[in-house]
Amino acid sequence: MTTRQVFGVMTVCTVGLIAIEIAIVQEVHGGWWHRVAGLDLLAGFTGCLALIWGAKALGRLGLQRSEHEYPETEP
Amino acid sequence: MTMLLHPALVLIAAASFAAITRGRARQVSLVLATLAALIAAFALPDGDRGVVELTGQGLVLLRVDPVSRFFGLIFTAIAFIGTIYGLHIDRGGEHFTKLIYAAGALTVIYAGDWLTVFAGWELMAVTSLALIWFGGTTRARMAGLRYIYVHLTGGSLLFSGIALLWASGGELTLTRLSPGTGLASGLILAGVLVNAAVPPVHAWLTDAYPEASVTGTVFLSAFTTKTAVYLLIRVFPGTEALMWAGAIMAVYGALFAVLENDIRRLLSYHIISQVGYMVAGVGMGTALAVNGAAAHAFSHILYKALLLMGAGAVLQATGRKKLTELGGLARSMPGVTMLYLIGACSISGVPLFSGFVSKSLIVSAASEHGHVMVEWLLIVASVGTFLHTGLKLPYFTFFGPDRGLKPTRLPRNMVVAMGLAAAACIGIGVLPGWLYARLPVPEASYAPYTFDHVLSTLQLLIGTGAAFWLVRQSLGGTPTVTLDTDRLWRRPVWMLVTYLVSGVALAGQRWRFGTLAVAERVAVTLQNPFHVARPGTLPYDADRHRLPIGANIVWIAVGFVALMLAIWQLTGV
Repeated sequence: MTTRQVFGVMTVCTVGLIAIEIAIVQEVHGGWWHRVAGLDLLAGFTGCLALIWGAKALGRLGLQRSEHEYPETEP
Repeated sequence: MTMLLHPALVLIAAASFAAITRGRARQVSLVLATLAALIAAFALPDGDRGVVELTGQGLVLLRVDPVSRFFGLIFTAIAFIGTIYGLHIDRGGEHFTKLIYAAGALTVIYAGDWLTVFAGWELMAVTSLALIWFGGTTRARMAGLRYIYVHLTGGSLLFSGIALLWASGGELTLTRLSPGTGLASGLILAGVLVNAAVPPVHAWLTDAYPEASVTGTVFLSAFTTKTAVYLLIRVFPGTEALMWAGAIMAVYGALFAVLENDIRRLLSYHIISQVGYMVAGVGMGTALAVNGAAAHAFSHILYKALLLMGAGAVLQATGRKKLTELGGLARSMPGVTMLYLIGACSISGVPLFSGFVSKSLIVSAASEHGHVMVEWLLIVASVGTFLHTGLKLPYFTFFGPDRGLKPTRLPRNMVVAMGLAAAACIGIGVLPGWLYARLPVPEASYAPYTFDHVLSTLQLLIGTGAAFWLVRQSLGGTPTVTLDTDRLWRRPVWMLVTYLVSGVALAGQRWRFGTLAVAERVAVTLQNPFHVARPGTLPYDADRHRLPIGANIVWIAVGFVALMLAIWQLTGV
């Protein structure tokens, strides 16, 4: 699948889910933010990017090392 | 008689039989015995059995109540599935070790007192070490050593706590403790947290599990951390610090998995992340949260076993385990791909799969009781889980660039075991009532399939999927290792052990040489005592100082007569 196709499918799903959320869902459990339409979508998108960039930054700060960092025979 | 149905005893009997049989007889007996243990776990009636007296303490070897029954069911179920997965293995020792390890875990689960818990705990430590060593590589041997250092420390903490509890006149019955009430409960909690792999004492898991044998990893993922969760549920529910530790743990595992290249290590980081949910649930302590911790342990054991079985199948068929070396296997391994994806959907909490109906109990408990930060941390961890196990790993292993790998044919039993685990994941997801009816706190009710819950979950997954697709090229793995908290103690412990061992060896050598030198001097002196009195004379020289044979015989005869006379004088005979 091309990126265009993937995002096409995702856009349709997203619009559909948000529309259903606004139109149909009456009862929402938990805090007020659960009533904000599309918030979970945003949380998934930004949370994913934050995790990736956070981890990459940690890796660049020195957590990511060569595969031979630890000698194989070191207990 | 009911004591004979103790699932641990059934597994020990099966392990002994596996060690002395071969071929088809071993395979049939393994399957039947683990199935018998599962049936026994279902059939055991509530109550205490196998009560024995030891130094004034009543030890309960078999306590069946809703909590132990629940964990006993899943432990025996995964022993059954894991045994089928490893049926093709020809090493009787590995079968023996796996089942004794599972028996150790069941000993802990059904124990009614701390001493029995400790016995099972240590049995697990020793046998799990052997499972790591069955990996058969130098790396596995060294990782096993590091693993046992940590677990001996954890076991010592646990034992110190139990001993203090005993010394202070406390009952050794396995009941709820408060970590604020004394050193004993603090030490016990510390010992349990080591096995639960709570950061910063978690690195043993990601270090050792990926190095174990293919089947060994499946067993390891099921028992050690989950017995710790079981003890937390039973002994420390409502300890608020655990709620925060668990939430941080959930994100920690998800964060570190981003950098991981080894597929089994990536999945190991997600064991930490998922156990984080359980620890957080125990920390919240409400009926819903504790039920959530138990339910999530149940589904986690199944889907994590399925994921590791999938990763193990890839390793078995291709001999590779790094994202940078894998790709395009969906075409050559369609069955494994599909079964892995069922596990991925389950761990990611996709509706109609097991993770959806268990994880949401904990997140909902956090939401209902106003733990906003914890709720968001768990949601972010959920995003990370889908990112790695549902998108990154399958994309780069099964669907990514084809690396022209030619996987060998898998033994049928491996696929059957994966099929059983996958069926259980879907079964629990579709019919959560079966799981909920067996939860430890029966009065807490929960409905997972509400419209808003399904909708919000789907949104979360689609948002994660979109972000992954945008940056997927940067996630392909790099041939690196990630430094973790074990960096802090790995070198010092290695040096300590090295210097301790070499120091003791050196001291022993000096002692040996010293005593030999002294013995030599004493021998020379005894051979010619005049040498001491007259330092100028030569030490003993056989040619110069030895008496003629005749003189020696005379001296011996004189000595003998003197001895006889002495005996005669003393005894009057």
